[in-house]
Amino acid sequence: MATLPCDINLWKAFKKGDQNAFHTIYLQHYNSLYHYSLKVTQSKVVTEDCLQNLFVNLWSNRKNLSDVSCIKPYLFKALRRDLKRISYSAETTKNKEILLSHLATGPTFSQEDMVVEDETKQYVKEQMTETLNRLPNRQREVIYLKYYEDLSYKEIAQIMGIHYQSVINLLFKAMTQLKKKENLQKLITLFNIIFILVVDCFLIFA
Amino acid sequence: MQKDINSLDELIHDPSFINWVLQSDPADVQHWQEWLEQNPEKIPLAEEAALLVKGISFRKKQLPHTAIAQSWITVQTIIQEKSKKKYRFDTVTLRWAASLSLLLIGAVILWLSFYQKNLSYTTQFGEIKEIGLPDGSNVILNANSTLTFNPATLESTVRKVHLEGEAYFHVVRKNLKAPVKFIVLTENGEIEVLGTQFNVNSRHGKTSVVLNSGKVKFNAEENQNTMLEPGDMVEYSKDSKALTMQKVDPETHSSWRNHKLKFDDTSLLELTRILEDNYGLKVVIENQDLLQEKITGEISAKNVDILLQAVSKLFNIQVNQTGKTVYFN
Repeated sequence: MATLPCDINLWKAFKKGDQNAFHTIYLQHYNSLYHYSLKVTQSKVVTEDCLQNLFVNLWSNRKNLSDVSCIKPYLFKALRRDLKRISYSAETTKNKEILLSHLATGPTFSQEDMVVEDETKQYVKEQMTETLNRLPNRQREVIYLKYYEDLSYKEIAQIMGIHYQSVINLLFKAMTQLKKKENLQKLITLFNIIFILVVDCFLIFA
Repeated sequence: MQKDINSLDELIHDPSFINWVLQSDPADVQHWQEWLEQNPEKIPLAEEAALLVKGISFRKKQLPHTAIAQSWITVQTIIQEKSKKKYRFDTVTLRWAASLSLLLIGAVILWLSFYQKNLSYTTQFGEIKEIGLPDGSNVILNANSTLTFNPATLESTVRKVHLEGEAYFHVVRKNLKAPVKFIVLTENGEIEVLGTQFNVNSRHGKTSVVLNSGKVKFNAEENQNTMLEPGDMVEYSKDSKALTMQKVDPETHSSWRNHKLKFDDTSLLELTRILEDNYGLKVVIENQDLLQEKITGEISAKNVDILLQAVSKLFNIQVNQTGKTVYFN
């Protein structure tokens, strides 16, 4: 997905009450925001609700919003804040319909999200998904924002409210973890092959 | 090597390096391979950077356009409903509404005060009314008379009242920046004053002013005007266009305000006028010579019957009353 141009003029037009500008922003970012929210909440109903609120509030408060040079990270940040709030209110109101376990825990990946070179190797997908979901919340979030949403390190830092260097560190940790697992997996596969070969040899010679 | 790269940060943002990792540009691929051969100590760094650049490829999902369009409609509906509700509680709108209604109320008040209808006081026959004017002046309106004025103008720079009949004025001085004139308009000219007491009688096409105290100016038509000193009586009639002035006892002409009639060498003719003007009586006199009879004295005028009895005694005549007609013999 190509990164959208950071349009300060579009934002200014929207702030002035331009309906078309608002619609453009909506069309440009709805899909991304939707999938991020869905990954975090695991609920289509909550996601749709949340995005409705986000855009309704955006429009009602447009006059009070600051000037934003990059719209996408701004919207992600707002959505992230809303999702946190929902999780808090869900805790306090004991709203059983919202799966608390999925809220405020960062995105959860599924096998469908994975692309592997050899599509027949279903188990690779399974393992990758499992490894990813075992990563700490923040590492998963960085991975999602970087590799799913193609956001820049700076934008991720802005969204998560952390330092630029922390983003790189988090991502690096996550990727080395994954690499380790992958290598381990390869090693296990290698051992399996050797084992089978050994057993085969043994059977042949026996 | 021209480049001295030391940090991960530099590598992950280097487009050429990214091209090498993704194997997308042959020139860059060659360049970085050579670089790594020349800088073998950088291999771990390059591997780390490559790990970040390569990342994970995800299958990205796209919502169907219909779903996005549908949710847009929902958002628009909510916004519209919200704006309707908001209209009632929006403080800015409320402020505008409040100031607008205040303006309107102000305008109505102004309009009412400027275009207020004239106030009119009328007395019946035999009735005397005391009227306090908004500027503090006092008017005693004699019977069968009408005083008309606009309350708003009485509080402004020129005080004007209109009189038909007879009235006694006690005008108070009023100073805004300069003394404010008080003008009595009659059919036959106007009386211009600042602050004083005087009697105005405007009946039968004739206006007479008797000054009790202070100073007044009587303006007849066409630049005919005169200043009055206390005790002066000026008379003017439109028909004859004659302005006459004489010295009188002012009390004689304004005694009516105390429900008394004071006569100072007053003829029966004048008395019949009073009876006709102030009491609505029709006087019939068979002997016309009687009309020239004159008297001096004072009688109570509160009650018509007592007044007629007194007249009967003073002039030594017989008085008979049938309805509104009085016969003097």
